[in-house]
Amino acid sequence: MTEAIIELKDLCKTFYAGFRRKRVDAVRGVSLKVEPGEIFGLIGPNGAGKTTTIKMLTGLIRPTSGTMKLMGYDGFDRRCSQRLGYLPEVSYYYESLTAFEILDFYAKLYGIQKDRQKTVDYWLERVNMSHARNKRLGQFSKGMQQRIGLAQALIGDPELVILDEPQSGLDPIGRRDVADIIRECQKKGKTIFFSSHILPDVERLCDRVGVIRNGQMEVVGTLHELLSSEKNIEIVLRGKAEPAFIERLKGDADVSFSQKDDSLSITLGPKAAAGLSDLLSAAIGQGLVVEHVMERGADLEALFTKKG
Amino acid sequence: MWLTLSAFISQTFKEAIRNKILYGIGFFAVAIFLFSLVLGELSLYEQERVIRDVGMTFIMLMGVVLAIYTGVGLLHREIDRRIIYTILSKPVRRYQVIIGRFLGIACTLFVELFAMFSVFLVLLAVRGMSIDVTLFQAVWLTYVESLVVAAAALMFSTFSSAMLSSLMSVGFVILACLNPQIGFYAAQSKEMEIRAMMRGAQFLLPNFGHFDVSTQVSYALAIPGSHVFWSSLHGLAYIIVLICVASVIMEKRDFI
Repeated sequence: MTEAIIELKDLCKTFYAGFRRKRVDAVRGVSLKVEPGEIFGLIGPNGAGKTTTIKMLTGLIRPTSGTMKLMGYDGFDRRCSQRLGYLPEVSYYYESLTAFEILDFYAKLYGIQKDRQKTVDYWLERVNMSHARNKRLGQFSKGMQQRIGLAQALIGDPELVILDEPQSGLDPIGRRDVADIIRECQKKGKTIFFSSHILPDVERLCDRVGVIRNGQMEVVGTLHELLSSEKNIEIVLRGKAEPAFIERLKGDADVSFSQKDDSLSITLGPKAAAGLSDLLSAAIGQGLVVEHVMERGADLEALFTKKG
Repeated sequence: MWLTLSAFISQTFKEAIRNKILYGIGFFAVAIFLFSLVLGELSLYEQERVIRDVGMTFIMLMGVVLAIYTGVGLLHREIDRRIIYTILSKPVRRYQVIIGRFLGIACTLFVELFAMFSVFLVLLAVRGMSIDVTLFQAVWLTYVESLVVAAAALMFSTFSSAMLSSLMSVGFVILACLNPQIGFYAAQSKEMEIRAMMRGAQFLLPNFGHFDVSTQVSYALAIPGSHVFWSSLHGLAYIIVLICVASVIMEKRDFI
């Protein structure tokens, strides 16, 4: 059995902000495991604790409590950083340096000596920035800076790539390019851990997803596991429903319905779905015609916005 | 280790010399040197003394200003613009960031100060005035002094905002210049606590009086080599302490 590349157990981070040292529990007991070679997506609303979790993973901040194992090392060990690539959420780079100089700088930090120029040129090409090789970063758009950011994260050929909102600020072509690079990294056996607000991309790319809210990990699982637990059943009945039947629908919190003329539309949530056959029997028993029964799968957006 | 440090040194140097503000300072320097010529013309029989005095004082002042500007701005900009996140997640020790940055600033200050000094020497040569070893010793001591200021500015910027770091750096320079006076007032004070406090401050602060050779420069007097050596060592000791403190603070801090 392979060892998890990231293993967090009850990870907490508390800040004391402002002059009055107000306590802020940014992360409250996050536990998760990321296996080697998988693409793991971390989603959650603003202020949920995504970036704080990522900063603990990259050694920028120290956890207040809990345990963290990264690539087999306890806590953030400097030996991890040789095998780690990181793109922060919003970052700017040295404006007076050219695209080549900036990547050369990061390549030196990774200790790349042999064929450094070739490596830098390869990554400039890979993120479609070869045309701007000798241009200073001060002249770059946000999207171009983001591409350089992605290149600096990957230039050391890391085993684990942590990307915080990698697609933010990119146009659709840029987003597609980033998605291609992420898939290519996975094909090369790298593990990708990324946070994003662009849910269709998360759905398309991730093997597993974790939803974090208020500093706590709400759910973790494969997309199939998460979304199947959120499936709804839609029923459309024709005819005049008896008041007792309507009362029964009103009594179930996991059921929603609407009436229009002689048509009754009912949506059963995951919990109420078990009572589908009883509900249909009761409807047929009072002369209602079943026009339509359909299972509707939830999407990531529904999961994301739930209780949000 | 050396590759990492060389990365920081070359990046710091490139960024500093491409900074437009420094070009402005360069033009200002030339203007001041020309102004010193005018002042020299106005002072009868004292032309050479006035020109040497104004020129070297200006180089010293610019050394301090550039040291504070570069020392505070560099790390603050990196933290503010979150560039530091991408650096610290690489196989780099936090103390290497501080040492690398300091060495980069040292290279930059060296080029800037000696560029100004070269312009000054050209002006002296054009005016047919003497160029002696005292001038070279004085500019070297100015360079060491500005390195101490840069190390202090770098240390302040590891834990405070740019504005506060600049203010603290200016305060540090003023107190370091007043070091001999602090010692004098400590000796005069009758209060035990105040005397101890002043002695403590005097011990903690560098003595910039060691780097002040303006009298020797003005009158072209010889500066003993031992004075230059011990003053340089005094500066180096403070630089090491300040860089160590900055590294410890950097090691402890969270980058929220």
